[in-house]
Order: sequence, then structure tokens, then C-alpha cells
Amino acid sequence: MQIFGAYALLLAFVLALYGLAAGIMGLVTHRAQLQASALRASLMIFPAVAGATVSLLGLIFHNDFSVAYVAEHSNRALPFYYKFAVLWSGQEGSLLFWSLVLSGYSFVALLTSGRRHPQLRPLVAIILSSIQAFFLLLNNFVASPFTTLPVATPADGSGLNPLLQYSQMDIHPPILYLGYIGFSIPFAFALAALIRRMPGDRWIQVTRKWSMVAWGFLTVGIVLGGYWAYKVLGWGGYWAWDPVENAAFLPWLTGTAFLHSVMMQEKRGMLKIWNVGLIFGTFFLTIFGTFLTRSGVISSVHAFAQSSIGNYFVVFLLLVAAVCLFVFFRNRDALKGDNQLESTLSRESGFLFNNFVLLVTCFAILWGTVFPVLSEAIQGEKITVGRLFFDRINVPLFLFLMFLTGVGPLLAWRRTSANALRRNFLWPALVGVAVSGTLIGLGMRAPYPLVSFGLGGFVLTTIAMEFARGTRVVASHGRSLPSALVHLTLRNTRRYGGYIIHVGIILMAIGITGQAFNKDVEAPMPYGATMHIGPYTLVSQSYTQDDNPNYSTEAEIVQVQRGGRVVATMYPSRRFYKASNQAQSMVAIRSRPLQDLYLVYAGDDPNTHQPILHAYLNPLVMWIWIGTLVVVAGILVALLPGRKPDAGKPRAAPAEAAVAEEVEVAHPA
Amino acid sequence: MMLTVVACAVLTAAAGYWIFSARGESTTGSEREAQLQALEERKQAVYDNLKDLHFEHRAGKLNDADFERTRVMLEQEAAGVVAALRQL
Repeated sequence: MQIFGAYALLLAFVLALYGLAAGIMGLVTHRAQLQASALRASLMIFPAVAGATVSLLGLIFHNDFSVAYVAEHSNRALPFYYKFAVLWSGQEGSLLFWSLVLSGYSFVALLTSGRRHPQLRPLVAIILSSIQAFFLLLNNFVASPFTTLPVATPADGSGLNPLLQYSQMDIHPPILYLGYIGFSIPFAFALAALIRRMPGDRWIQVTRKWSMVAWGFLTVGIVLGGYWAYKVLGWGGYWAWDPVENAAFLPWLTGTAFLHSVMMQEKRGMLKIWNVGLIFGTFFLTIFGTFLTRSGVISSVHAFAQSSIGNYFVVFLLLVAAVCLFVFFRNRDALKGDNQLESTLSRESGFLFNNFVLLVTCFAILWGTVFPVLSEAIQGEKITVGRLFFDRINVPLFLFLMFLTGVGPLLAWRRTSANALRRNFLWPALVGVAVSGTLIGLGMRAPYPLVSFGLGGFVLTTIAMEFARGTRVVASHGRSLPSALVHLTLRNTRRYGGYIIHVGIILMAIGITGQAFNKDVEAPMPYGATMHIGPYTLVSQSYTQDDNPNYSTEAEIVQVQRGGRVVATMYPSRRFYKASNQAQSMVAIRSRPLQDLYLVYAGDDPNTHQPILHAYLNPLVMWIWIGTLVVVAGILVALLPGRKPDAGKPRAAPAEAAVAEEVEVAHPA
Repeated sequence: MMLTVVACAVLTAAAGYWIFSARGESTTGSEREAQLQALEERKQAVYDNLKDLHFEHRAGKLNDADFERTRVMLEQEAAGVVAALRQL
């Protein structure tokens, strides 16, 4: 199995090289057969990498500890559902998983693009083959998961990192990878279109759809990472501005900017250069983030061990930058815009502001992330910027983005008169002010949360009004209101799916704002002791212990009372993993819409040997997870093909007639 | 070991046969075709913009003056695209 896996991986590398070389030769010599052969080689990479992956999984499940990767990352007692996580828990396996996802994406993209993009497909295949060749080079010659141990096979492996032995870890990395790697596909289409100097905007449609898929996975992957940190790391939070978290967030920001600005290209033929730059930048940031994670240049709870692999990424990043810049400067005249910005009070300028703020945010986070590396290079001393820096810079920017999320739908394309804007603004603004005013009346004084909740009310009202207005128009054609609402959404899935995504983002923002009111208490909790936090009284009732082949557990049994009534019993615990000799806290969480009660069994006091309980009260956290589900629903709606409108139809014919009349006047036949 | 060698040989043979039995079709269209396609896409985009404009006006998001001004601009833009299509 080990030999087959190594061979399949080598074959995949050879196929990628052939796809690259034959594809270029086929294009240069205009030999269609060579191009078709190169395309098939690109498609064949996926089965080869899948074969290698199945082989590695077979080695993991058969506890073949003669293979170094299996011995270092698995053990016999590891439950079977965590054995899948072994695949991406180390450098070598995760690179193989990267190749699997990339080749899978490439396979689907190349198979489905033949009919609509026959001219682009050979170039897309070449670009994707070259990216795959890079990762397969690493997989074969730098970090192979099939290397055998030079010493005798151990009886058992070192085990999976305890931090990864959670159900979220079976899905967080694959989803995040699907997001990260997914941006390779729109990058390949954009670069191919620029090389071909494609005059139309059809390529931008396929780029947008693939970007939406990648963005969706990246969003869910990032949130799942936060959910994992919240459930596992035991510090009461879900986001710490860790460099690896930031590395995933950077392409999310540029991808978000692209998904907005691409509408200007599709609607008005504007911002073509900007869009190409954004999609190039997003891909570059995904590779840069991977470099940060794997090179060891930054310290992070997520980072892989320091290795020479970073040098390869630097070379690849330089190559990507060189190719993109060369193609861009050579063919930039093909990206001339069809229209210009006509007014600052327009949907276009709203999108421009949105892009500007997203990019400023991206730059600020990038700066904070690489600052330790830069400070060490310049001053010889590694200076890390902390949470305060990121919060101080980003909170106002995020609030401004919330404001723009609400303003965008109120602005018309091309130009909005002040009168129309005032009329559209009135109700959302009143609701926003009412929300903030009510909260002030209830005693809230913190300025940022007041603004955030007020903007939340403003944006949600804007979106509700968009749905209400559209539904009314569709219902005027004889449909019931629910039917009209469904028809409206399916008529323009992009727009209304986008609004649903905005609702999800606002719910997440409300949940994140809740952290301004977090409370925590830490105290020894011997048997019978009590602790008070917010409306809750915690009573230490007893202790329990458990043991299985993988780990032993000790847990504190805590009774939760509210208003003198018992509302729950919680079991914060600690596990001791035998194979890796590591201890890990298991957090107990009681999650409710208004607040989470979060208990951490923090070990024994070294002096008194009494158990220490750390209790947190985290308001509104549940809305982050609910908001994410709403975002996913919005993405699914946005990816549906839009139905032909029936409400607009009677108006379309006169519009086309008017155009025909204009043509006759200006250009008589 | 024998099974591994056979599996490797089958994978290689299948890949080789599939790749080298490919028949090519020309994928390069003429420049005129590409321009036609681009103009058709632009025309469709402007028509869609016109339909959206009508819908937004009926939904009450645009006042009559904004609607008329934008409608005239869009119809002129569409006319330009249709004229360019006719010339091609």
C-alpha cells in the first residue's frame, strides 16, 4: 500500500508536468491534439492523487507504523473517526490533502467548462497543472507522507495531537481547505482570460461562481475554526487574532471585495483591472497564508513545525507574482472599462467604498500579522502586536462596513437623487436610532456596542424593506404574499441570496459585539463551594473519573442555579492522553440565545490542591453560529440559477422596442 | 508485492492510453466571433439592467425623475451596443 501510494503520487507529478509542457507546446504550435492530450493529463491527476490518499488512509487505518507519518500522528487506541483527521494533522499528510482538493476542484472545473469556455479551457488546464505541479513537487520530494522509518517499526504510534481530537477537527480543516484552495479556480480563469485577451465578460461569470463557492467554504471554515477554539482551547473566546487565523481571514476580505466589485463589471462593464487585481491578490494571499502556516516564520497554536518548506513557497510566490504582473502589464489594454463612475451617490460608489474599507482592513491585519517578522528583520527583535492593536484598528472599520452593508441597497445604479435617498433612508435610520436609544435607556453606555447594535437594526430594516417592496410588486400580478416572496427570491437569486448573506453577517456581527460584555471569575471550587457569575450561582457537587485506552478523564460536577432554581448540571473536565502524554481541558458550555455559561476545569491549585474552576459568561455568542447558518443558506440561494422574471416581462418588450427605435434614429439601415 | 506492481501498471497503462488517445478539436475562434460574443453579452447585460430598473421603479425605490433619466441612458447604451452588433 505504501509503495502504491508513493507511485501514484509520483505519477500525479509526472502528469502535472506533462499537462503543463504539452499544454504550452500545443498552444504555441496550435496542435489541437496535443492540447487535448494535455487536458486529459490534467484531469487524470485527480484519480492518481485520490489513489495516493486512499493508500495513506489505508496505512493509517491498518496502524502501519513502519511509515513515519503514521507513527508520528496516529496510534492504535485512536478512535476510527479521528483517524481521518490524521490525514491533515501533519505537514506531509496535509500537503497531500491539499493536492487532493486542488486536483478535485480542477477535475470538476475542467469537466464543466468545456461547453461554455472552450477557448479558455486549455489555458485553465495549464495554469491548474502548474499549481498542482508545485504542490506535488513538495509531496514527492520534500515532504512525502510515504517515507518509511529508518529504524525498527514501533509497537504503537505517538498519537494524534489532543487538540485535534474533537469532532470539529474532522470537518474544520477540510472545509477551510475547500475555501482556500477553491480560489485557485477563479484565479486560473481570470489569468487565462487575460492571457487570451477575452473581450467579453463571460469569463467573469464563471470566476464569480467559483469565487462564491470558495468564499462560502472559507467563511464556514473560518467560523468552524472559531467554534473549535471556543470549544477546545478553554480561554473563553473564539478569535484571538492568531497569525494563522489572520492568514485565513486575509483572502476572505479580498474575496469579499471581489464578490462585490465583480457586480460592477457585470452590470456596467467597469472595474475590470480592479477585479483582476483582486482575484490575483486573493489567490496570492491563500498561498502566502499557507507559507505563514508552514514555514515556521511566525509562532501560532496552529502552525506546523519549522521546516525548509517555506523556501519553496517563497519561490512559488515570486513566480506567481512575476507571471501575474507580466501578463497584466502586457495585456492590460484588454481590461479597458466600458463606463465611468457618474455620481458619488450611486450603487457603484457604495461598492467602491466597500472595496476600499475591505482592502484597508486587509492591509491593517496583514501588517499586524507580519510585523513580528519585519521587526526581527529590521531591528533584530521580534515584536508581536497584540489583540489591542487589531481591535483598535478593525472595530471602527467593521462598523463602517456594516453601515455600507445597509446603504448599498438604498442606492440606485448610476445615480441616486438626494430626495430618493432621503426617502429610502428614513425608516432604516429611524429603526437604527430607536435600537441605540432603547439600549441607552436600558443603561448601556459603551459607544462601539451602541453603534453596532444600532447599525444592526439599520441594516436589517433595509433588507426587510427590499424584500417587502419586491414582494409587493410580484404579488400585484396575482400571487399570494408567501408565493410572491419565494418567486421574488428565485427570480434574482444573486441579489436576494446576497441579502440573506448580509442578514447572516449582521447576526454574526451582533454576536461578536456581545463580547464587549464578557465576564469571568476564577476560584478554587472544593466540594460544596459556590461561585456567582451574572444571574447564575454555581455549586460544586462532586467529582468523577473515567478511563479508556486513549485517555483518562477527571471531571467536576457543577450544579447551576438561577433565581434559586436548579437549571442545569455541567461537567467541565480534563483529559490525559496516554500516547502523547498531554493533558487537555474539556470545556462545558450551556448555550442560550442571550448568553453562554462557559466552565473550564483549570486543574488543581499547586499549593492547596483544590480544583480551580474558571467560569465565563459570554453574551450573544450563539448568534455567531446562527448567523453562519444564515450565510450558508444565502450562499446556496445565490448559487441557484435565477428564474426568468414574469413581473418585469411586460416592461421588457417596450424597452427593447425603444432601443430599436434609438438604433434606427442613430444608425438608419 | 505482486498485487502492488499490477496496480501500479494498470494505473499507468490506463492513464497513458487515455491521455495519448485524445483527439483534438480547434478551440480558437476568430476575433470577429469573440467580438460578437462580447457584444451579445453586453447587450444582454444592458437589457437586464433595464428590466431591473423597471422593477425597482415599480417597487418605489426610484422616483420618476431618476427612473426616466436612467432609462434614457440605458436605452442609449443598448442602442450603441445593438448598432455595433449590426455593423459586425
